[in-house]
Amino acid sequence: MNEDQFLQIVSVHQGIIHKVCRLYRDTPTDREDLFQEIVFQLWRSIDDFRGQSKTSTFIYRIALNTAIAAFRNNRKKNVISYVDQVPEMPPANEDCALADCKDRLMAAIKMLDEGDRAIIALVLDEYSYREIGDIIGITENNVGVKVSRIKNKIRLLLTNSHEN
Amino acid sequence: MRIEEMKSLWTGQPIGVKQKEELAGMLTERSHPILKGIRKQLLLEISAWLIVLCVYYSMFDGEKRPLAINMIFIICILQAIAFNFTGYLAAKNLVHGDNIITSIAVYLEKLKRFKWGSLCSRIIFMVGMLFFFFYGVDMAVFRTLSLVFIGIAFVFQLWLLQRQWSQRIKNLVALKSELMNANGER
Repeated sequence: MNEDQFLQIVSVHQGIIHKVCRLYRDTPTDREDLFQEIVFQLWRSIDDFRGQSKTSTFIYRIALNTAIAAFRNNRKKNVISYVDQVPEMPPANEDCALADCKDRLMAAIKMLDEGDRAIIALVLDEYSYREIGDIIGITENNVGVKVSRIKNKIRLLLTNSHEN
Repeated sequence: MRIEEMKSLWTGQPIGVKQKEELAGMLTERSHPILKGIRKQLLLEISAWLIVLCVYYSMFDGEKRPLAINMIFIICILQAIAFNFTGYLAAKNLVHGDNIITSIAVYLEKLKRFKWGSLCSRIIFMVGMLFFFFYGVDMAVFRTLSLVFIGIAFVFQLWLLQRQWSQRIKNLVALKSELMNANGER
């Protein structure tokens, strides 16, 4: 595969990489570093991709693998993050509630162990248990057991965060 | 919250968009954030050691020591540089195998080998240095005490090094068993 074709694929599926970076890193700088690391590892592994699975499955596997294995800087976590653009109008109440729900869900997922985070991300992106098993390297049954346990954990975390 | 609600919230997460040109810049080692740092450190170390190798013969009385002792000194420095370089090469490959568990297992083996390699390289380096600097020196009380003090500092440094490697290995072992275990227990 040449560089142009590769860049086209990454460009189309970059949403997966962004999601993995948000899941596994806390600061914008760390996320940017991880994004770059994932693209680099994808480029190194692309020749091993023989089209046996979907391209997005391959990208998810390499992205999760890199996020888990990559060296991380132990930067301080109390970092102020700035949004790129400030909206001209304040968001409507409904939007606020939706944004709040999204943040709470992401916060709850980030409280899970690294392995559970990988599995729930794949579930939420509609991958089948079989595909998840292939990516992680476990059986479909094992995935099923884990998913039901993780869902309960998230529900509990969301309930607790709502009460607080 | 039901799983369908979670899915719709998840897919609606805002994401940044990177242009192809920006992505193209990420394919080279030169722009790689971690490798860049390791490379900079490696270059600094190599330059420093090359300077030491150039001046040690006259500055540290290499000329007054036998050839074998000089060779030990040079080999100790070269092996430390070579080991650091292999570390740089290893840091480039994070993905192995067809699934995450296999990949972590291969990576773990690599880290374990590296841990021992790193400890051995450090021991060879330190013992070689001590051998060079203390060769033929009259071991008076003060010098013996210095040697003991250096030895203790060296052992402490080794302990810190092995603890750092062990922590990283321990985390990955825990993650691997968490993924393999149906109940997700570590």
